[in-house]
Amino acid sequence: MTTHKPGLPNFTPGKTTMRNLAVVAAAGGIVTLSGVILDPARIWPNILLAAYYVAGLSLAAGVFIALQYISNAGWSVAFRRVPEAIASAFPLGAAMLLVVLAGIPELYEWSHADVVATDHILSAKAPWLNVPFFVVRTVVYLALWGWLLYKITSTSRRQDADGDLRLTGANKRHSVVYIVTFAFTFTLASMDWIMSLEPHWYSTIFGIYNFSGLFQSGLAAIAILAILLRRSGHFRQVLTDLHLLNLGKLIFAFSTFWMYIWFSQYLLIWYANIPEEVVYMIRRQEGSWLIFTVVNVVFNWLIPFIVLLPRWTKRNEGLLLKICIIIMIGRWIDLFWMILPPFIPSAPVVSLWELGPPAFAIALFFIIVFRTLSKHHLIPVGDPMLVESLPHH
Amino acid sequence: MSRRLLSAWFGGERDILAATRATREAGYQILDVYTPYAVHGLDNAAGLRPSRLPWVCFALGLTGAVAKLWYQIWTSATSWALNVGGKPFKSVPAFVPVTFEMMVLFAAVGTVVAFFIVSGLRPGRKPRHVYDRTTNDLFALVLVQHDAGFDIAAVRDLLSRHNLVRLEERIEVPEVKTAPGSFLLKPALGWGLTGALVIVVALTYLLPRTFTEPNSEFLPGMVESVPYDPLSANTNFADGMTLRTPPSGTIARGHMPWDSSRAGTEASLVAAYVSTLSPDQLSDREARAASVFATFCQPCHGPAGKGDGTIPARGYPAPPSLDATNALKLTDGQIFNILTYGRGNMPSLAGRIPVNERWLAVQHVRRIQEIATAAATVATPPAGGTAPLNGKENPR
Repeated sequence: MTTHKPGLPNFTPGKTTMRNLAVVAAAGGIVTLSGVILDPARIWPNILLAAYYVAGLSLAAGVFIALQYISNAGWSVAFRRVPEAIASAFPLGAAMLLVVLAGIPELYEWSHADVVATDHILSAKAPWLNVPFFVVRTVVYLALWGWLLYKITSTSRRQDADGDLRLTGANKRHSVVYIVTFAFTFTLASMDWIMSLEPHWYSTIFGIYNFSGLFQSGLAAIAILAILLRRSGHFRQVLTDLHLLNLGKLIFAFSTFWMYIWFSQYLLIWYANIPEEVVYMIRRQEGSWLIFTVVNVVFNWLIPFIVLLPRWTKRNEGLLLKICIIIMIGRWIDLFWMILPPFIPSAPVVSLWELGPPAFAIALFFIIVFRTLSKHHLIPVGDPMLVESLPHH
Repeated sequence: MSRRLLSAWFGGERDILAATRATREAGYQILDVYTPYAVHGLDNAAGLRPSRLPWVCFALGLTGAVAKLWYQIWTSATSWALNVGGKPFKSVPAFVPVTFEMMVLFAAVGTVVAFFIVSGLRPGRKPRHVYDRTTNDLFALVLVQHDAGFDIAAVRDLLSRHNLVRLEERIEVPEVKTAPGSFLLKPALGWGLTGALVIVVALTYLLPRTFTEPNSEFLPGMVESVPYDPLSANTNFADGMTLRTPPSGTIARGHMPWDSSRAGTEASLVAAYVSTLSPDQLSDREARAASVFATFCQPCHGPAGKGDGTIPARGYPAPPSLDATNALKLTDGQIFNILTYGRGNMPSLAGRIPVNERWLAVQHVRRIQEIATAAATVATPPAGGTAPLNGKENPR
């Protein structure tokens, strides 16, 4: 643990906030546990959703930090502790994804030997989609990501003590390894965890589609925490409107990127109109599932795109916060849209089972992030590029 | 008219920012600020209004998107409707990629062009206010000495607080000498390039041209398709043509023959078409044919075509029976013709029954005749076979 230097902003989470978060996490946890006993078929997809959601936030924060290091960017250093804290919450998402392994029989059609034996497509895919290999892959992904995220965050924190320049170089190397590893493994992981829920269907753009939503929601989470810290006074004189402008630009860009990729997947499936592919979209457009399809596009792209188009809205703290919250809800809708249709094909249902796991995961996520923020300097005082990032007085 | 300009030189980003802000707040008129690279916040410090280029960009992007969307709908749904894979003509998802690209193209290229126009950047433009070292290591703040109250000593005092490097006075005269700018901006080069282009284009007319030969094709893989073109020669057939004569009885899709002068021929074509329908379709057609007959023919001709409908029962002259010998001799086309133009006391029904349903009525008349003939055959020894649906072969 680092000793705090006097005169620097340090963060202590409010007691009531932490207590409220703990209450929400406990309630969500109780609902989830009772769901596992009472209605496993309904709860497991939602546990998968919640796990994938929070793990995605940490991974996206890691991508953000790594991009800054690789591109030698200075502007973001002032608030880099925020993405670092989010990345440090990765064990939560990883643990939940490991728990999901217990739900494999409820989740994945290909895990049942009797189904595979009578199914030509599934038996052809069996060398990849089988339970032991799936478990091994999951563990390998999580271990790789967890180790690299730990290297990046801990190296950055060690620099607080002496400002050693070599640590910046070390983190650049870690970042390169992380970005490349992540690009390959996350593509496979998204196919394993999400695409194989409907194992007869496939889409080659699925990995990048999942990444686009993941990075968009990660940026939104970073912006939300940064704005909250500025509102509570911790980032006064640290986080300027120009930082918000840059974050807003990234959110705007990746909102549009998400839409671009979403539509790329849709267009090809729609145009080719091959039964084995188009079944995926038809299932998501029939009945009230169509509402989710429309709201998905409206929340993740239309609203952020229109609102963040002018320059002043990206610099407006209150407006950016609202847009980021909409994007966070949009991410849940996007994942719900990807994961749930095979389990509730007739119509989307949002009940206690759907709300419990995300409430548990998000509340616990914030508790961990706030704890991590309070343990270290709120700004990376040892980083050589901090001067570049701080506003001129 | 000449202006007296005062240029103040600074060595760093922070100095130029602070000095610019200070002079503006003191009320001096800033002509421009020259920096080796883009300095954040300088627009604020110099009191520049926000650029209007984003609006140009937005308007152009919107124009590109709307124009291209309209154009695609017009070309592929209105002007020359194209059936692509059985999709609706106005398939918006198919139009999105091109719309998107045109929006980006209009917005990007248009904004750059608008920027060049607004800032007067064009080939051959003479650079003004040249401050050489601002492209290297120094920052220059240029003030206009607009009135007699401009006190150089006071300005020097103000600027000295921000690490002033040098202060220099210039008198700007209207004819600014061409400074040693980039050679790309010299008018001679522009004219030279334009002239060279004109000459190259003109020379192409001197190339040998043969109008009877196709142009040479680069990578012709997609132009020359593997299958035969409809009009190309074909050695696989005896007549050497790719196009085959359609089998007799073929009707163009969506075409319903009704020309009475050729009615006999085409009516048999309809019969051929009917006979290719599946039993389900056929029974549908038969039901529809019976319904047309019941609505329009039965009131006079009666349910079995005996001429005993409700209208003759009230005194209107009764029509001859539909299974009379004369009626059996009629070709399909002739019956169709009667339905279309009327005969004797029978009025034209062309205005009430659409063309295809008139053919159905003909079909039902044939059906009635078939039943009647079959009944007669039971009563008397057979006198010639009957075709299943359409009893008559075309006499022509």
